[in-house]
Amino acid sequence: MSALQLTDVTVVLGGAPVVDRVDLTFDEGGWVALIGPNGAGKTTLLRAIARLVPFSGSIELEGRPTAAMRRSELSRLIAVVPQDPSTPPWMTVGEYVLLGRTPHLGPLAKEGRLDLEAAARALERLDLSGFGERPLGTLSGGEKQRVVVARALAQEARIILLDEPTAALDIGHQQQALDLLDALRLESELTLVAAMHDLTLAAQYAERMVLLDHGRVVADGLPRDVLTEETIARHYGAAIDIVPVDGRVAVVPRRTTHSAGMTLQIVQIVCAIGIVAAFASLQFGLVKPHDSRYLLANLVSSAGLAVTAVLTVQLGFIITNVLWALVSAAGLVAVARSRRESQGI
Amino acid sequence: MNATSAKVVSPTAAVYPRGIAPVWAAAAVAFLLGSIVIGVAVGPIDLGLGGISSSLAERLRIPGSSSSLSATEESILWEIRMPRVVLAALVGGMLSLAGATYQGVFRNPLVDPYLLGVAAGAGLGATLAIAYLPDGLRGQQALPAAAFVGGAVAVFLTYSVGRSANRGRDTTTLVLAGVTVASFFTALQTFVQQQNADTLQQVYTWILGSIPSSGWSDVVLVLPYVAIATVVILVYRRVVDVLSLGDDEAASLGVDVRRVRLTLVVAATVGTAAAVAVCGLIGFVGIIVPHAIRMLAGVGYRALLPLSVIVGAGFLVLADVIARTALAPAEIPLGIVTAFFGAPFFALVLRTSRGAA
Repeated sequence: MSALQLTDVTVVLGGAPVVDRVDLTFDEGGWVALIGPNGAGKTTLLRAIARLVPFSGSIELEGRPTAAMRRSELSRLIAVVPQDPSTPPWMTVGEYVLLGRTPHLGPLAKEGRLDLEAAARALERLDLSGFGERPLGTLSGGEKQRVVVARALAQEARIILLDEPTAALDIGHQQQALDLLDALRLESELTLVAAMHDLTLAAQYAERMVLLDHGRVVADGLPRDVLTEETIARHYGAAIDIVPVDGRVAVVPRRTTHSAGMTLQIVQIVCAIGIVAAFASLQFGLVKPHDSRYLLANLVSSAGLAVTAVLTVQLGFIITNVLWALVSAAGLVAVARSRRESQGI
Repeated sequence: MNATSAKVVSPTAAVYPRGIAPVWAAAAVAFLLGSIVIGVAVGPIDLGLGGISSSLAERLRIPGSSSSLSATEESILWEIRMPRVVLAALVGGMLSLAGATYQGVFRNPLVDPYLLGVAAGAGLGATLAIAYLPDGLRGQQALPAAAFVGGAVAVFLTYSVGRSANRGRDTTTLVLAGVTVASFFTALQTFVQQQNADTLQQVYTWILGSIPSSGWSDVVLVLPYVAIATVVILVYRRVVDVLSLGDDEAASLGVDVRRVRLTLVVAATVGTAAAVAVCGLIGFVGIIVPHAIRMLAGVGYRALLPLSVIVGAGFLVLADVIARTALAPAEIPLGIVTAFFGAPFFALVLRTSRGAA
């Protein structure tokens, strides 16, 4: 059953469409990663779903348009974990997580036993039971992140929108946080929609990926179908390799400017040395025209020159290549001259 | 669906809304009561604590009690000192509650209740009343009414300017609009004042603030506004904690941010305008009191707001005692007393709250 349906959703900010005619359906209990380059509209799309930004088109939650819902009703169905949540340093973890009960309370009510239990349960599930009285100001980044997720859980919404849930975490905590979210999702049949920058991490956890670019959905499907070298190159302008790992895929950036260049430059240097060596052996008469090695020296110098030329044209290592091309050309001229000389004037 | 890993919640998990710690509640109430006793007892004529308590007992119709005070002393106690103390308590409680509310709503620990131009507007209203109204009308009724209207107009202007600029979403816009409107009204007020130099003394006395010794009529004038504003704000005190997370997060937690903020701002402003209308511009109460509570008790708005009312009331009663006794029989304007203690305190808060805000 579809938990969330977006039809022709457009968000215009500052005169320009940031989210442009998006149609998406999210299934209940799924984990969808929203990916896309900076400025693609991921955060804005999440904000539109949470009705934090005006949009046109329709967003339906379990068949009912969100636009017609009361704010508190919407918040009982959708929880948001913002990218940069504000965590007042004086507030205790317990108080903060209890704020997640706000949509269940109405503006004037006081928390009851059920609310305290829901908050305690959320803390328990995130291994924060002993933290209830700690002020937020004393927590580490990873702990804060868990507290924010606990607040979203205490909200007991069916759908949790996460904006870069792991942006502030180290790799261990990233894994921990996402494992935890995955476990919570399976346990409570939550629907998770997460905007993520780390494609490998997203591919490890998400069941489905939606690639946004310029506010439009440009790819949608299984991570291994969405993440291809070609789509990443086109939409991120990045050169990457896709490496399959245990049925999932990892995205490995290719270092185009330096490390990849190193190998090729070594090839170039070897070629150039070959040319110079061949030239020298001919020039100084070490190899006679009728010697069998004469042919070899000529072959080496021509092949080296050819490879250098191809590398130069194809990859454009401008400065080193101009230098090596000059050296190679000089070598070739010298070879030709020595050959003419040795052929007997 | 939760069967796989439904965990038993341990009863020790410490999740509770941190209300007012009993110690702090007791301390605040003791402070207020102590201030009231001092406020009632201190004055040019010594009534004696015994006399005051016997008179109080008689008023409360405690059987077998009779006042040991003379008729003159009775009327000094009940017609002069008591209303003045009550008025100071009402105004002090209101100003510090409004300050704490503004600080929460605007997520800025350094704003005061005069943020949205209520002071400048009230100042203009009062100056106009003093300068242009005939003597007969200028008395008790007209001046507070004019100040109240001036304050309300200024805040309304601030809100419409701030709103139209950015749909009321951005609190910074509102604060800037407040600064703008305040400068404009202050300019008008100064102009009117300069045109009517003969009223300078009176205008200044009003601007520097004082608790009038005018019996119960001013108490009756202020009480309904202060009572309504206080009830509204205290009822919403939980939501102020939610608002302190910022507009987006508060909205995603189901709070209708614009409506709640408007309600709170209107309540705080109406209460402040009423207080200012009667007592003039008493500065710094709205900053000193909430911050002192924060520094001592380190609490969220849910506890801060009620504590602000109690402590603010006690604080202004004490400040008023100083104002009327330090140079007796002359009175120091109350605004000078609060600023004298408030400005250094404010500097201290600035130094310590940098970064933690």
